[in-house]
Amino acid sequence: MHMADALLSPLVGGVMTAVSAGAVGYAVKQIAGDKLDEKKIPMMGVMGALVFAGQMINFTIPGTGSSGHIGGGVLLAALLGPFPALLTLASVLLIQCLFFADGGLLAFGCNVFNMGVIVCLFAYPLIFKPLIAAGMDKKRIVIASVVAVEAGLQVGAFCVVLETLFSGVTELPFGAFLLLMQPIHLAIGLVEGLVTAGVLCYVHSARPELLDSAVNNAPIPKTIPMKQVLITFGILAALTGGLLSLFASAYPDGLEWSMEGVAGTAELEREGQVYETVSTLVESTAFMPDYGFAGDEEGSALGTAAAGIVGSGITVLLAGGIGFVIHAVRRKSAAS
Amino acid sequence: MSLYQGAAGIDRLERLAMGDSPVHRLHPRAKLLAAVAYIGVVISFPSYNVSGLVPFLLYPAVAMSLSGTPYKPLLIRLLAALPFSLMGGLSNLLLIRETAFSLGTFNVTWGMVSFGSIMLKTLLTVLAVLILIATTSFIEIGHQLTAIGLPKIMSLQLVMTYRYISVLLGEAASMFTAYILRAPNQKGIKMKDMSSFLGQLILRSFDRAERVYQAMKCRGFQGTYLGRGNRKFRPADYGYTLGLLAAALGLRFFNLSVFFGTIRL
Repeated sequence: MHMADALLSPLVGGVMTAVSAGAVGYAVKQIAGDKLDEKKIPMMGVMGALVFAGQMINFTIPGTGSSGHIGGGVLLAALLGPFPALLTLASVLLIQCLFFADGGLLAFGCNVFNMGVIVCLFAYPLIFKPLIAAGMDKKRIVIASVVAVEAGLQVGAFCVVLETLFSGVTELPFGAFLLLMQPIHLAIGLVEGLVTAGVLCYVHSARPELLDSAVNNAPIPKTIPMKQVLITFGILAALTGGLLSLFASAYPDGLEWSMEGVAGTAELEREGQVYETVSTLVESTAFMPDYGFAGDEEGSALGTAAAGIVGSGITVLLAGGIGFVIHAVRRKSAAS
Repeated sequence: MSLYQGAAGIDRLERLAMGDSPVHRLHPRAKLLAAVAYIGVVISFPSYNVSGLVPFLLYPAVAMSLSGTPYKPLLIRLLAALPFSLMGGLSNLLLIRETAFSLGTFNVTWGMVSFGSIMLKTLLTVLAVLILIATTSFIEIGHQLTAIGLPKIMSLQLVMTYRYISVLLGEAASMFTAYILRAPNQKGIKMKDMSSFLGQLILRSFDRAERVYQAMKCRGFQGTYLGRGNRKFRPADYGYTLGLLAAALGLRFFNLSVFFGTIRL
């Protein structure tokens, strides 16, 4: 679910970075207000490393032949509390981005929001905590983990779809993209939720104080009826995961029309409209509007296209040549 | 990616960052800002422009050869970045079938053009981050982030997480080896065993964090991490950042490929 730089527009990247920076700033403020005991600092570091390592351990999913790994958001929030968990997840995401290109540098804000802010600041306090507020037992931990992970992933995946569409780099239709993302993450969420629940149950049976201390930081009134919360979130999950996708596929035009209104991009695959849309879209952003577009004069368009292709070839050779020369010179000077 | 590949990947990049070259010697902040500016300009290109993006290969070609950064880690990184970009690129390839221009009898569609643009953007953005991390130590990047306004606790968190990754990867790898030796025909850990496996790793990690905390306390830790003093920006650092920014902006508005293609000898 990591967003890549290549599918992002600078505007969406910038806005999401600002939003995530705000959320991280809020978390830092909350932690400072709580006078986070310094013991938690090494704990956060080690737990971040744990999630990082945990994500690299693949487990086999029974009956499918495929493998999965944990995401770790709900797990971290349950063990550390939501605010330290957000900071921990953000640092894990930055390290993944820098060392493994898992998520881009300018897409970092998007990824912190989709996988950190939603899980730690919404799914955990609004779903996980109320569900286990009445007391921690195996059944409650399983229900709370699965529902919280599912909700976090569904909303996160939905945000990925929105961010991609608002960026306007890809022309994937809203409905199809949604139909692709939401059900996949429903399945992933179930597996991840069950594993998270298993881990939390294990920790709770071996060292119950670890979970209790994080969960009981700010006690939640025990009056929230579990059934009501469950039903509400069940309906919400079904709405985002299933019904919305169905609606989107049944009425793609309506949704795409609204996307066009908001994002300024139109359905490019529609017959006859493509040239105008593409030209206006690019003319508004490109310095050389006449470059590379099939306009009225077929010949000149082909001319610039050919110039572009030939020139690109020359540029690639030039870049490779410069690189090779520098490499050779360095090698020679190192040898002498 | 397996545990072993992950550990080896981090170790390799860390060793590369310890090297010495004109790029390594630049101020870490100069490299960080330059990478952000470069990626920003690259992703600001419209989806139907490939030839304008091609000259941006000059930067990675020069920086990688100057710093001696090998090309091999790039493949692993591209594999991580590709799935999402490929999905976006392929959707354009399949959905936009209007012809942009013809090369002989072959019709090049707008979908192909935009597919090329997305793939090239993926390559360029991944390369820019690779150059940054292969020439700058992560600890330095953490300090620079504090210098440009990241809250201290966050950069402390970053540095600590990074430090303990190799420790915990080692711990997890030995547990994984022990498990796999007892289950030789299995691809990975069974889902039902995953809870106790990870749970055990968590308990070990908590104990380790406790010991780390004790050790830090013994060395006088009071909630902040003392970094190396910031060295000053030198003319070369200004030159690198501003030069790269100017070149990127210049190439954003002047299509070098088309220029080369239209030169008449």
